[in-house]
Amino acid sequence: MIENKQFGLEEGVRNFILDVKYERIHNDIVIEAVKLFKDIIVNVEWTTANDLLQIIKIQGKKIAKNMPLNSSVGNIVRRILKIIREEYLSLLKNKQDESQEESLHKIVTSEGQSDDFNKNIPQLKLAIIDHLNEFETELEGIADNIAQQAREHIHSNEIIMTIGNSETVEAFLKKAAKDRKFEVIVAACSPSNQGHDLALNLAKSKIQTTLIPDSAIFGIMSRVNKVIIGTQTVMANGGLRAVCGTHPLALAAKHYSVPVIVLAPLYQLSPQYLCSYDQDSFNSFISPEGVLNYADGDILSKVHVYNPVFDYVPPEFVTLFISNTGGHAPSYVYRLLSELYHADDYEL
Amino acid sequence: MHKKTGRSVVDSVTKEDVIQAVLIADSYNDDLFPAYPVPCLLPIVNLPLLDYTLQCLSSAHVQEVIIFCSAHADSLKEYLKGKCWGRMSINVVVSDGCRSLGDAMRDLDSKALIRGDFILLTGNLIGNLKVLPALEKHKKIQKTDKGLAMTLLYKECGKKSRTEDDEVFLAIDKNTSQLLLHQRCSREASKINLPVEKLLEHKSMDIRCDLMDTRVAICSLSVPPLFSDNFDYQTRDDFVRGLLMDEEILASSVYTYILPPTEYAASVTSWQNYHSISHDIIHRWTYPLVPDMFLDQYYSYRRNNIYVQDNVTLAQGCSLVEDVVIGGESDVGENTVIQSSIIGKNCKISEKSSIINSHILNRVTIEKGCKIDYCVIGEGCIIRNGAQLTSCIIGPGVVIGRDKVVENMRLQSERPLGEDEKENYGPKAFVYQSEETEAGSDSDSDIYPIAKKYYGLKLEARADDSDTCSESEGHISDKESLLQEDTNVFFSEVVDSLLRGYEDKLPCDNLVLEVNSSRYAYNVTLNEVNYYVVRAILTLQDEFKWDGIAAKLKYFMPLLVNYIRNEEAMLDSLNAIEDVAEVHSDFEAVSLKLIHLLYNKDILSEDAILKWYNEPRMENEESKRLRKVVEPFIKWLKEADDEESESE
Repeated sequence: MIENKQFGLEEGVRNFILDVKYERIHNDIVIEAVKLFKDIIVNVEWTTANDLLQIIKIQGKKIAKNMPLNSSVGNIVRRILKIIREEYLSLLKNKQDESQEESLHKIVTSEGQSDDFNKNIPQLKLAIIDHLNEFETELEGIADNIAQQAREHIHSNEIIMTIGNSETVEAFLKKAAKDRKFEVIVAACSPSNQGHDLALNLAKSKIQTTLIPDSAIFGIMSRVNKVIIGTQTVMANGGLRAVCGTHPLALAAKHYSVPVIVLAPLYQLSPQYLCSYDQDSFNSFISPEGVLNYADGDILSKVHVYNPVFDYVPPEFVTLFISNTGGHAPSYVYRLLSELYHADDYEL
Repeated sequence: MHKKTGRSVVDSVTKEDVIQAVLIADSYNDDLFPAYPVPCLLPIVNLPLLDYTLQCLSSAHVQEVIIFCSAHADSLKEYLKGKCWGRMSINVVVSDGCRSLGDAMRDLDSKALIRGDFILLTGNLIGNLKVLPALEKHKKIQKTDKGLAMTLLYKECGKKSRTEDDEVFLAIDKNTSQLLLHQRCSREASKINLPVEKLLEHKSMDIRCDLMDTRVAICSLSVPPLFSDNFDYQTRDDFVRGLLMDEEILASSVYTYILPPTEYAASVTSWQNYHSISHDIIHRWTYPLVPDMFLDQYYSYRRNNIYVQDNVTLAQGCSLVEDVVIGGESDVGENTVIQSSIIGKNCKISEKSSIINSHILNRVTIEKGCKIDYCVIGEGCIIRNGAQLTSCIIGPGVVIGRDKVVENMRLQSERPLGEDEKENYGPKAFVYQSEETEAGSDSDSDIYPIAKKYYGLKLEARADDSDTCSESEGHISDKESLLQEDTNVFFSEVVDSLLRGYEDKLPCDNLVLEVNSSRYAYNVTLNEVNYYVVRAILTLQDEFKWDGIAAKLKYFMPLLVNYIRNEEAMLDSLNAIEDVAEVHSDFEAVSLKLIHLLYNKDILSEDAILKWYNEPRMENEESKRLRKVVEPFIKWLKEADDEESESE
């Protein structure tokens, strides 16, 4: 029976990876990931917190290894591990409180003892699930949380520039538009041209929107008051891995001293550092279609065409991060990291 | 246990909604031999072809796949055992007797496994296409055209050099995208042949040759029964051709669907397109089906399209130039150059070798100083020091000896049955004998496909016909070739009957009957009959001594009397004589005697001979020469004429 369950677990993880890879998940990947791990915690048999940590680590590692560039799932795994640790420790503390009196000696040594996570605590499963449910609700409301802060950052008659199509940015701008009048300039972000969709959606909700080609970013930047962008990942040093075209945008903003505000839910915060400027292990390259057409025929066998998805933006180009918990400077990211994740889980 | 739950989910959905795909796992030919025993498990960029196909179907939301196989069923099942494909269920149907796609479809019809529109494809598909939009379009057309049988999927590839088998000309109705003409082109027939009715029926049409056949088709429920009704359909091309020819009778039509530019699909059918498709994979056109995106395949992707797996040892001074894939646990020695090549897992490549444009499968050992260009090397091969291989396809387990130079070969490790071939290339290397070549080695037409197979990976640069010959010339010669198709067959049949008649001394009346029946079978005009009969008689045994010809003429005289009755026929026979003389110079000498004889026998009249002499069809050397030869006879004719008139 256990074997069957194990098989189901493997299968679930595999399906999840495939779904993410082939873009079959339409709502939020992170919420799906939390659901998956909740299933695992409920269905797989484990007795001690240590077992559970091991199971989650193994599966998390598998997922993270299979999608090295989609760090948010890895970050979710780290958060879940941290939650398990926290719950275990607090339950253990309660238990000890009940059974024994607190002594100074115990307080000093308790940290060391609790690290093995080997005590069997029956209520642990329930507590973890409760906490994960809370976490899920938090994730669901994350875009709202960020959008709530829009009024503090967007003022009347400002000109805002953005690039690509980030749902967080869209919600943020729409929220601000409810009681402020401002203008948005959207860079198209070719060859995928995601900017077109964003411009369309903004225009539909009566925001004055201008769509520009990427080549016009520098020319227009002098008139822009603020750059507001989304990102795929926030690196441990505060740099960004964001949609291709963000780096030139940030450079132009730096040149004209325009503040760059990055909207980043906390699950996008990754403990990874940029390991290579050669972009290879950092970036994702998709089909060259769009840069060059397959219908061009024979010339394709004579050239190399690269179509990267991401840009690395160094932290010095970022003025402010806005997460669901508020605004942070890039230099503060290291602190957030140690708050969110347990140091043992940085490497899955 | 899990499988059961999967099945029940499928059952609970209404059955019509299930998207079925029929995957033909056999190629029914040995074009992709002998590098890997099972064609659809042949690795391309280090993963079996079938992997790509199933991944593609799984990501295209196909729910049920029926894998149809005849040979290699066990290895296929073995391979499928350990795999899971998400929410897709896979059924393997084994049918031993199948020799072609047609057989498979007929079997499918009798087994009644199909419930609605289905996707028909081979196990060699590589692509990231989304099948759903094509399926939707198929259903939409079905509403307006009840006879819709098949929608063929094509990918725009522009002007791309490719093999002849892949060249295809299509005529497509511009508004409805109905297929009107489907013609594979070869070097010989460079023109297309479009019936006038089609031009009249359809207002506007596109004629395209920039499309690549993906060999994926959406089929209606009516397709398997159509195959059953027409048992001569063997391949999909037969089917399409049959439907286009007998559109009214079968009440079925074929449509096309051109993939949007973001989607890629291609099928491996020959070594040449194996090479070009692997190039496309390395260049990421198939994204997300690229080496570093597959499950449990951890490649690091570097500049210049270089993919390297874990635990690869790259020695000092070795250079990976571009477009290189190296599988896990492989070693590359010092100063070795690898370019545009794929190296499998656990390969050992020693120092100072060069590997260019090649595909090396798993566990291959290549010793020092080898040169490998445009080759496919099967699993577990050993290439000894200093060997040089060009354009070779090498089966599993072959050992190539030291310093051997091998070009344009297909080699296998086992000695072919009943042949005492010497080990020319190494201790375990024998020339691969294709079954097809053995079966049809005596007939001339088979020489061509055998030769073609030795092309290997390299795509021969194709002489561009349209540039080399001027337009008008091409037009005329083509018209002739079209006309001649039937008459050529007619001619060869006439030669056959005459030869048989002459040898068996059959009465000439019977021969007349035979020639006449051939004439009606091939719809040949009377003029041509006259011409070809004379020509056939003259060239019957390719000997042009006067005695032989005289004997033959004597025998065939009744035949000539039967056909050559008026002046026009006489001119035809004279033209035939002229043409034979043009080809066979020996004949020229006897032509004088021949014409004289025919004149004496009253087959040719004086007027006809003079007319032929004075009005040559073409002003060229040969005709002048011939007329010089027959000049004395003409002179004599004229003199005789004058004398007659004088005497009167």
